[in-house]
Amino acid sequence: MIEASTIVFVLIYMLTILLAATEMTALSVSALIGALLSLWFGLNYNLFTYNEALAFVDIKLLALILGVSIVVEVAERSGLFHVLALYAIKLTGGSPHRLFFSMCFTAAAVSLFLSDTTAILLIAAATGTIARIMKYNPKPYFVSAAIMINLGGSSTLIGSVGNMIIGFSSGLSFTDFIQYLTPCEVLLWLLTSLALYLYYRDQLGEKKEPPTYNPWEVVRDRGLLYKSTIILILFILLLLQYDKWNIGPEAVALGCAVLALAVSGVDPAEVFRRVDWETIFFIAGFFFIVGSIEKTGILAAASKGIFDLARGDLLTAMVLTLWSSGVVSTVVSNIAVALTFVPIIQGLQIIDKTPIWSALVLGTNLGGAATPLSGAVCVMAIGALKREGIKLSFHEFTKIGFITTFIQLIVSTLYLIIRFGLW
Amino acid sequence: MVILEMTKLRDLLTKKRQRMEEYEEECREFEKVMGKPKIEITVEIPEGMEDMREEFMNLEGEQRFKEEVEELVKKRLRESQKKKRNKAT
Repeated sequence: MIEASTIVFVLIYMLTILLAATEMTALSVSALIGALLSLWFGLNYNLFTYNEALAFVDIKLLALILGVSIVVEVAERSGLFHVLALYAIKLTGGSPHRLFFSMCFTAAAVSLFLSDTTAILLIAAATGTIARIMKYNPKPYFVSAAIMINLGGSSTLIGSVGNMIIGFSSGLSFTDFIQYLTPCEVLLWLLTSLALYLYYRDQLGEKKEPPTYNPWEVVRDRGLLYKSTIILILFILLLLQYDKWNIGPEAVALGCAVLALAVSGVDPAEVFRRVDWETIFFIAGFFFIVGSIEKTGILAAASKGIFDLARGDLLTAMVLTLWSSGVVSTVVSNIAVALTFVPIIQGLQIIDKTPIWSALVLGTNLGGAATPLSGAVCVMAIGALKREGIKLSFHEFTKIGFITTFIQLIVSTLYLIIRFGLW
Repeated sequence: MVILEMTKLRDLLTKKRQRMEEYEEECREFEKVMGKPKIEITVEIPEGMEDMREEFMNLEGEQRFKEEVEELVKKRLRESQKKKRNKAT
């Protein structure tokens, strides 16, 4: 018999997802409304105490997101990613085929650090400009960039907010992510770009004389660029080492953020303004909603349900996690999917859950570019195309989005089976 | 409900507009490097001609005026080139 309190919290969860998905309220506000309702009902039902509720929020995760945002924002302001994009275009020598692959890999590479929306603005602007000069059709480049940006960073702890959530909950370190998932991401980059190329190759245009330019012209302050690059490299090196020093990645991120603000000379107020507070408040609010639902015991029941469905088999549980999180992520924010799946996986009665955590990382990342509404990156790409005077229909994007998502999920399934020896 | 929908619509449009403004800003940055360089200058209506406001504003869209300015730019650049050569010799 399901208790009334359980129904109330499930309804609050669904209301939050509905508000966020329909954009009736801002993403952060929908989660904060849900958090407020969860707190109110949880305290009234004596499901938890006030102090227990405060412990729902993982401050370390929020600190990691904040630290990463500041380090990356300083690097972005230096023009580092602009120079990379300009070199990526220059090196293709006017060949649209080389330009296509170059932009695919650059898009995926910059999204290892930048947020998806910032990355698509940068890549779309760079490709849009060269497409205008060379008179190429920008559509193949914009759609492919959106799909590759969604894919980029799916194998690193700091590659997406969903990864940070899963990393903290599973205990997988930065090096664990690289060890278990980077080979898969490299494989996905190659296969996805190849699939996109085969789909769009007839629309790429003819080889033309490229414009001559100096990519460094985009940099206003070379000193800032050198400093930001050094800090970014230091950040990565420290992330590879932190687990040896008994500290968390959030300490490294905040430490590098302080260093970046101290030595860059960039106005901190400007940097703080650009931090993605919307996501930070969404996560903070969603912690209360998931924490409350967890207290009702429904997530433990879901864990048991998955375990029973898989009949205790690790392979089945892993495949179920990958595909269900992948499919749900096509319609629900991958942050919400990660936050919901984490307690379910934690409740599974399986000793080594690494394959299942890896499946969740891939699933939550890959579902974000299946339809134009699967992620902000797709909406931005379509908006930018419209600015270039080209209309892209829902059906047209969904067709290629579904093809690539399906390929990615199939390849990931095979990779995980081979990587963890589960055949 | 209508008010709610209107608010939602306004927010969506504002958000999209802001992001697209950022996109255009980025495009300008890349255009400066990859495309033909451009300069923008602001010219105020000359003193004593304030009553010719309409004619002054129309100059912005006038093709002949644009061509004359382009000729002036060419003339100035040629002069600079000449000066540079003379200095070198």
